[in-house]
Amino acid sequence: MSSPDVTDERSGTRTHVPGEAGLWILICADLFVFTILFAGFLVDRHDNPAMFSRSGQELTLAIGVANTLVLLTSSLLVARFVQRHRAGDPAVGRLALGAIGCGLLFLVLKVFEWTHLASNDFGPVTDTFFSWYFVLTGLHLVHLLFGLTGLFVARRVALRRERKEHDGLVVEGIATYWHMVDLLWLVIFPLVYLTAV
Amino acid sequence: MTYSPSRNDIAWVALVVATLLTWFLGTSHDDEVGAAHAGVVVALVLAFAKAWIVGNEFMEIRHAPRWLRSVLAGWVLVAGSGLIGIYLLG
Repeated sequence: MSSPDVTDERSGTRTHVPGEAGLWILICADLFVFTILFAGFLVDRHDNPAMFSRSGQELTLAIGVANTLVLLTSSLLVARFVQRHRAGDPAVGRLALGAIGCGLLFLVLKVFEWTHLASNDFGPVTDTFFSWYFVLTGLHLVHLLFGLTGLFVARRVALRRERKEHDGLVVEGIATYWHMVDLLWLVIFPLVYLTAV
Repeated sequence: MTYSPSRNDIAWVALVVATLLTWFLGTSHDDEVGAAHAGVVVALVLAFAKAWIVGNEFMEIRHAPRWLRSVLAGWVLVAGSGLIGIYLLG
């Protein structure tokens, strides 16, 4: 079972809130906090554009692009995973594994990038730009790790032989959280990799 | 059997194209500051457009009640225009 459909009074169409309604409070709070952080990054950039430009050029844009493509692909796989689970497809585990693989690839790319920066003596205390870079990408990575753990749980739930009443809610909720991880990265990517201009 | 792409497949293609366009904007190395700033603004607009697509299509918010659709649209518009505003004021 997933959350019940409700008929929209104005349009008369059936509407559906993915996952638990309470999950959306967490998602809205996360979006709000990250938006404040994004604004803080840009305000500090305003105060010292030369430093942000110099330090931002130490990042490799191709890694940011690769991370974005990997997360977008994982989101597509998770969206399909939810739809096939709803349809009762028993082969749904492969889609979850594909999404988990993409998440792990993101993790590997991020750790590679951090290690590369550290080997060139760039760290969280190097300057304001790198403080922001490590705070934004670090917080995002914590969310990604929660999301990855969730995907393992969702896969287990989906592969159970007997369906339980709230399986649909659990799978939808975890998928929604994973899409939020993707959505946050979509904004972090141009902020840290491109505003060095 | 012929393959017909789903809405999600089309959304993914649009998201990938927007990402590659952002990559192009980031590597075009325009010497003129004004043009470079315009490139960043386009990249930020693309980022929030992508967030809107992920929300509507992958998160399935387009099937959600009005309040949730409004939250997504409101965040994209307010956060997107606010961040672009702060960037341009810099």
